[in-house]
Amino acid sequence: MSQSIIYLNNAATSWPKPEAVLRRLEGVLQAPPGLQERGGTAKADASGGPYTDPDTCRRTLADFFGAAVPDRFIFTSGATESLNTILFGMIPAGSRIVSTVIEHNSVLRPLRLLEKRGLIELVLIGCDREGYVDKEAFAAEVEGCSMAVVNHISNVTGAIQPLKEFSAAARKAGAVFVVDASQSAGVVPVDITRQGIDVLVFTGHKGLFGIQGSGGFYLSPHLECRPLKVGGTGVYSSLEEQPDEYPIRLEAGTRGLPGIISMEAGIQWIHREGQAVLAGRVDRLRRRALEELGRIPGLQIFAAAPGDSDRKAAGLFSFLIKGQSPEETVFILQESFDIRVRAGLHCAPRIHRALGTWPEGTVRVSFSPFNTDSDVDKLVQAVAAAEEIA
Amino acid sequence: MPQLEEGLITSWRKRSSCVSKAKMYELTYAFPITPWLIRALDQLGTLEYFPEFPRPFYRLTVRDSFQLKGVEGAPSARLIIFRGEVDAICRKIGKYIDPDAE
Repeated sequence: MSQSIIYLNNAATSWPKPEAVLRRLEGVLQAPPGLQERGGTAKADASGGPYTDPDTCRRTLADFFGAAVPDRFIFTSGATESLNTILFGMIPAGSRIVSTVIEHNSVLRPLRLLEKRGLIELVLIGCDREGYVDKEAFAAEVEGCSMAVVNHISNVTGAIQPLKEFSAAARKAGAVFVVDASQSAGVVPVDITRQGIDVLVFTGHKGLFGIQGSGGFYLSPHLECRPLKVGGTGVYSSLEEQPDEYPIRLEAGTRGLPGIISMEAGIQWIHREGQAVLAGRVDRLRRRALEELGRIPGLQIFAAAPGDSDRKAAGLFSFLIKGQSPEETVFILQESFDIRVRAGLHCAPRIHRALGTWPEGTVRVSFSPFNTDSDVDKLVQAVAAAEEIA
Repeated sequence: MPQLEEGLITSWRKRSSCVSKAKMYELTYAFPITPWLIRALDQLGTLEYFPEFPRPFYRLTVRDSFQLKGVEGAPSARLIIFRGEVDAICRKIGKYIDPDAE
């Protein structure tokens, strides 16, 4: 991809990746295979950097997400595999499950499948026009549920849900509290212990600046999960059944080591730069974009906490140009102006019913710390031009 | 990817869309489309052309049938079909627009 492209689709996958991540990946890919795998003995990777194995990455994740037991971090191909493992592996038949309308299809579809099979009763809690979930309704509905699944940050409006309030209600009700941190991991502080999270799902290729196909989840030590797949583990090979020990119980098959190490390198980069500094940069760009786009008359904006508010918002929002489909707006921005944003439902169909943007969806803008004021200027200019021809 | 006869459009492929009901296709032109050829699309329906854009944008709308849009100099375009079949529409565009006539 050309460097001249203005990339504002970081909620889908972050780009560019930090140089430090690219260097670590190069080192891993150049190192002889096997040295960093189970049972291997390695000294250093080819980049000359310190040797890393998946267990080192588990410790990094535990430190980053405030968890006490690194071995309860399970590596998967991303949030979708993590959520499928959890939802199919933890929910007892006959359960009542509460979730929200801001969820991604990676939550909604497994839950709908379980509902269709007659295994669960599903309750979805609504949200307001900024994408904040109704806390009172959640607290009422979580009673009698075995599990609550909540998206930390809406991938349509950027609304950051107050996790502590949700976890307190879930705990009181005795429900396992599952957080989908696909949009928040690396972007805002996530603390498993302080925020009362039982299961944390994350992906590597967004705010953690790793590569696609990486991610995982944290499973609290008091919880058990059946494997979604079984097979080789590289250890206990004499056993013909899947070992019970975590994390290998849930990690059958060869793990995606480059992805795992890319996440670790991403977290180290975030530490070096300062998560608050990176978040502040993104927040400033978002606020400026909202302010300037708000002056374009034919625009309808769907953003969390657009003004001064005690509510919190991440670096993304959506908009529509009146009289123009999101598909066309994105086509114009991409083809005429080299700006990458995203059109459609963003795999979160239910929130669009709440926002009144069903079935066409919205145009989504999502920043990363690599974006600049000039990117915002060009975005505003391009949207104004697209609006003029609507 | 289906191949068409000689003409402006050489092939097409279906594009998957987040909004499931849209019939959307990517058309490949025989060569990058020129301002002259863009203006020639006018014969087919309502043409809107915006040469002031960094890469000039055009949009051809044939009421109740299809919309074709793209940018000047690009070797491809997007076709959105409201009614009709992609092969027939591509042939119709090709019939009206003769690249050799420029």
